Amino acid sequence: MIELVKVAFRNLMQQKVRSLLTLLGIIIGIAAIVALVSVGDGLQYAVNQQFEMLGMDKIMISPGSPKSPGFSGLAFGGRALNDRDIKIIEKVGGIETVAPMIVKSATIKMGKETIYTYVAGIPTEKKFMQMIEDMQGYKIKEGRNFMESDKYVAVIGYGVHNDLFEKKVRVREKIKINNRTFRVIGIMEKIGNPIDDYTITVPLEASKEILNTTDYSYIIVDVKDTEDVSKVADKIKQELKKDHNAEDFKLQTSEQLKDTAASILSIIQAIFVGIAAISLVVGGIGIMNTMLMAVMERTREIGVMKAIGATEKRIMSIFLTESAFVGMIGGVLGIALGSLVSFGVSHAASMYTSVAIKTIISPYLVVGALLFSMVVGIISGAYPALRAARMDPVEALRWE
Amino acid sequence: MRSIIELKNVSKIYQLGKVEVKALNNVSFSIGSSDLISIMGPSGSGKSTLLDIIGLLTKPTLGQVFVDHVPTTEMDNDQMAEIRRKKIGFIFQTFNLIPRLTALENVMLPMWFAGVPDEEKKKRATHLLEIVGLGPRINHRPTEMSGGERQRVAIARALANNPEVILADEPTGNLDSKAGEQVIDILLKLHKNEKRAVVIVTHDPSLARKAKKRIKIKDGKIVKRG
Repeated sequence: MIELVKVAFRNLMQQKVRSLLTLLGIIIGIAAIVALVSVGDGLQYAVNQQFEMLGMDKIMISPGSPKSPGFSGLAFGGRALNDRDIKIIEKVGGIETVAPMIVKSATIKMGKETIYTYVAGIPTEKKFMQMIEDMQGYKIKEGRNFMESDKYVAVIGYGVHNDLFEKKVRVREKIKINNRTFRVIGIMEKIGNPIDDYTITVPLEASKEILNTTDYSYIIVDVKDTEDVSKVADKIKQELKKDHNAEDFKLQTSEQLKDTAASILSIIQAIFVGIAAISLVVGGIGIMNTMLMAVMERTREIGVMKAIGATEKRIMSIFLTESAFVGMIGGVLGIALGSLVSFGVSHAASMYTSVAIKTIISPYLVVGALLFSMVVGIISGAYPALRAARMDPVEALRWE
Repeated sequence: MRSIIELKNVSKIYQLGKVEVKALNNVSFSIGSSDLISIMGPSGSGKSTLLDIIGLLTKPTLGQVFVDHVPTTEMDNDQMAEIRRKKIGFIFQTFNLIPRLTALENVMLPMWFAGVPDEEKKKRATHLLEIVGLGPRINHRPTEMSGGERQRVAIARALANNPEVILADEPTGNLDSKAGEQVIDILLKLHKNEKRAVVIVTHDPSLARKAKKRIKIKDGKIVKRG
């Protein structure tokens, strides 16, 4: 075995440029796969974390067809949700709290600057505040959170504070939302996704007034017992359907949301990795080409080896080791390059955007990529090696 | 004398397009355990084909080849490879060393195929290279050696697995007369001192005369035995 690897290495070193170019094909393919998988895993992890924070005992209801993709309180179509729906939901047993939310874009003025961003209206009663805080995972960085008596006050996202206006927006400053003056009472810590960071949060009643609506973008239901979530969700769905005479709303438990997000990410990841795999196939063809050339060049040698007693299996293993070796070295270097790229991506992401992706290079990924690259090497080398093994010794010896 | 390799009524027919070429035509011939045989013949006479068949590199179209009285007709490629590995040592006109390997490694190659342990392989290969007078040059590559030296490495390689028969296909064909003499000297010594069977295909009548058994071949037939 050691002998085989030594021989393979020596044979590859004989044609340095050719081996290097062949290697490059595999390196690029493996690097692309490793980078995409690790960034994808990082995203998946971040999303899961977000949902863990949210808790598994929530049900979200939003207007729109249940078939519409994703989850968005800003979805078009479908009947709006309003206080009548809240009352219906509250009657369903096993519920802790029902919190409506409004999210809509609005014009924000500060001094002479006018800017558009999202305004969210949330209920400010203590029991809701706790729940929303848990869900959004937001913490006040400066100033204070809402109190029940608050009306025209706003808690601004980190992005709003930091870079939405020319000057930083600070606590106690005044901003105009749809021409109504609000006092900034708090600034949130950076959450990491642009929508949350550029949202201005105000009390629900104030938002109804300035946004001129009584329709809710979401209704969030906190179920008493986590085990009852799907039962309660079914019941809510039933009751709302009866009242609306149609299923014109979307209802998702936090579990479902998490699964949906995870499966969307998985699909995206699979597509990208699939594309990367194509480059690996091309790399494999490169190996095959190189090995076919090597077999042809060494025809006479193969004849000699056969004459002095090498079996077909031995000849085959000599060439297969060579191609597997290319695959493996390509794998090692590809993993290194891919990791570098993926660290680069996460670094760039945290530097230039507010999205923090921690890339994850799991041992499974490393071992998997290594095995995969070796398999590609072996598969690509199989045909050339077979050709070498099957050569007629007499013809091979006389090859000029 | 025990017969090691025996050819009985062997013919080899090649199909060249629509024409059948009889490279060997009903040849019977045997190599005993301490024979020194020379094979002569003009080019195209079938010498090479004869050597291919004796060396179990190919099977005859008709007739039979026996190794230690066992017929080889039904053997598969790997069984033939095993016989080549154990019983036959090849020496070629063009040396056919592996250029990337040192002299020592070239000699170790057949032992690698035979699964000889590492230590022993090295020891025996070094010893064989000393016998052919290349003791100080074991770590040189073929490209760093003269033709005579290369052929001596090839002889050492042929002896690696201690074969009973040495098949030399015009071993001096690419050498100057002095290097050629040296090579022949070694081959004759192998025959004389170690009682190995040696078969030499040659164009050189003076070399052929040194053999006790002399065979002349023409148009695929043995025309003269002596």
